[in-house]
Amino acid sequence: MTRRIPVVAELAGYRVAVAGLPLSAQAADEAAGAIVVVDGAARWWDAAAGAIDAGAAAIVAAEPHDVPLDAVAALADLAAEVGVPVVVHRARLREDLVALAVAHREGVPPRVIVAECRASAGDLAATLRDAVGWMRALADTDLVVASAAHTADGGTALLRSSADGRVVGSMLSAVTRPEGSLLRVQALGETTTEFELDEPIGRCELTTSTARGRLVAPAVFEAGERASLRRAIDALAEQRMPGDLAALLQDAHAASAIAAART
Amino acid sequence: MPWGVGIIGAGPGVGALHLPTLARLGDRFTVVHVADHGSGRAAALAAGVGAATSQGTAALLADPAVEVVAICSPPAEHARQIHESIAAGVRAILCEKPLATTAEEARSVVDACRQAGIPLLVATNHFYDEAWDRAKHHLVALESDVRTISATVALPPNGRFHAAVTELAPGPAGASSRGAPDLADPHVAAAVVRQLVLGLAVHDLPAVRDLAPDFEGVDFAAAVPPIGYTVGFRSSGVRVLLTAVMLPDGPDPVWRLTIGTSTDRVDVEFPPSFVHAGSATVRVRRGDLRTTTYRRDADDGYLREWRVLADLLDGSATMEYHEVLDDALFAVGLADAAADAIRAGARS
Repeated sequence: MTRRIPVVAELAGYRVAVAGLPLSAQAADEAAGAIVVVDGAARWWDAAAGAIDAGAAAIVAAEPHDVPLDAVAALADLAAEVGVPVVVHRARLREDLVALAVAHREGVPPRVIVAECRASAGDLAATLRDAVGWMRALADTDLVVASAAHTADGGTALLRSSADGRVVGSMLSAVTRPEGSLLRVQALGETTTEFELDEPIGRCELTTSTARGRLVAPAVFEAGERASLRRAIDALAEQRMPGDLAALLQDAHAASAIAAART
Repeated sequence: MPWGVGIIGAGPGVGALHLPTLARLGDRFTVVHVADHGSGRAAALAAGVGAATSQGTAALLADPAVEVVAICSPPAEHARQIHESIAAGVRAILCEKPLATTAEEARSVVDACRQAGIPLLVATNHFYDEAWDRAKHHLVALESDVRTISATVALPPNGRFHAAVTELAPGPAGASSRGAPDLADPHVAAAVVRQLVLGLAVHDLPAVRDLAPDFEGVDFAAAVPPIGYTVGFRSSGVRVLLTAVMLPDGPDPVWRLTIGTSTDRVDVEFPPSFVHAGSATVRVRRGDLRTTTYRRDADDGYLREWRVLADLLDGSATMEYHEVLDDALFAVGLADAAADAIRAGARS
């Protein structure tokens, strides 16, 4: 029988996730040798670094809110140096959904991508960052902000590929009420992907359209926390370092450039 | 008696749009004359509806049966043909979008129509779609503070939609053999985007202006290969994002106008052009988390724009020349500013 991996988790969703992986994981209190789940609500990078120093085998960063570039880059360096995998759970940018969206495109690149984000003032920056992540993944290139006009209430931005300067797409964001995010990403082209997330309603739909018709992805029933924890377990088993922190940094860099472009 | 319509132009827009539309409005209009610019297509279209045919505009404008002129020629011809129509004494003019390609042309033709007392309708069919009335009513009734507007468009080739409603004669040899423009050249890109704003984005600009009338400036503009654009601008404090791409192949068209307020999101989704599939769909996702999808109307914006023209002719609707002019100036101003932004971006 496979050894169950200890998981240190305070967050309720991850305690449920541990219970949902009875053959792979077990709740634990000690960081040494365990997967440590850090709450992304506040200074999660410090908590993650502390867990690594305490001997954690892997880290799950749960829904990072703030992403200070230097501090998170230092965490990425530390994790790489000691060989500790870090999985980042971003509910609006689930790894499984992104992978499905990319797979359904069958290698056809989008011509242009449009992302529309609506969120409360406190959530707009993180929502915008995840929208950038969708654009990056669907275009299969890192992004640079070519132009942006932004205020505290939202704005617009044009994003290009950092590799070759081509136009990848544009983004429209706005502060809205009530709480919770709405995110719509349309990757237009001979194959068109549309991802729509309405967090307050709990609606999430991924479709892929071609001249042959429209494919609606099956509903994802696995909780995001369980999927993230499973990814961390798999990374340990396969002795693999996920690229989550690098992707988060790339998205945060572009998002912070948009937010900084005040008009 | 139905009004006699003379159509200047014989391209797919006439064969697939205006002739089938006017065939639905036989009690108010009848096509009496179709003219082309030498393509030879007019004869086949005219024969199908029992109309006269000619080349150029002189014979059509001299035809006493022509009371209403529909100008469906390339945009650069519109202003001249409007002036010719006024001089010929027609009763009303329907002009395909854009009304004009410069501000001077726009002022000139609207002034001329106003002085002659001739109704002038620009065929911005999305604006006449009943769905837009519904969306606007929702926004006005709730005194919504509009924050954002986006118009997202992806269009496959029109052939399969033309085939659903008409039979088009083959075009002249070589007509479709032009290569894609070199969008890496900023002057080419600027010219392409200017043309697309006036020819494609113009579908939605009257609606944008309806909600955000005071154009402030373009924040960015870029050409999108193979043919398309993305433009961000501000108007009356509202952030507007226009994105469109014309594809060599692909799924059914996307044509979605989205209005965001502080609480609500209103999606207006238009059916493909040409197919006469009824009005757009309006879906409102409200701040209280309820989502409402309004019923669609059987009539599309093409039918309604011609009905409005009939009402103007009958005197049961009021001609608002200033609105026609302001719509045209808004489109030209945006097109010029987008082109300038692309050229300036290249310089920087």
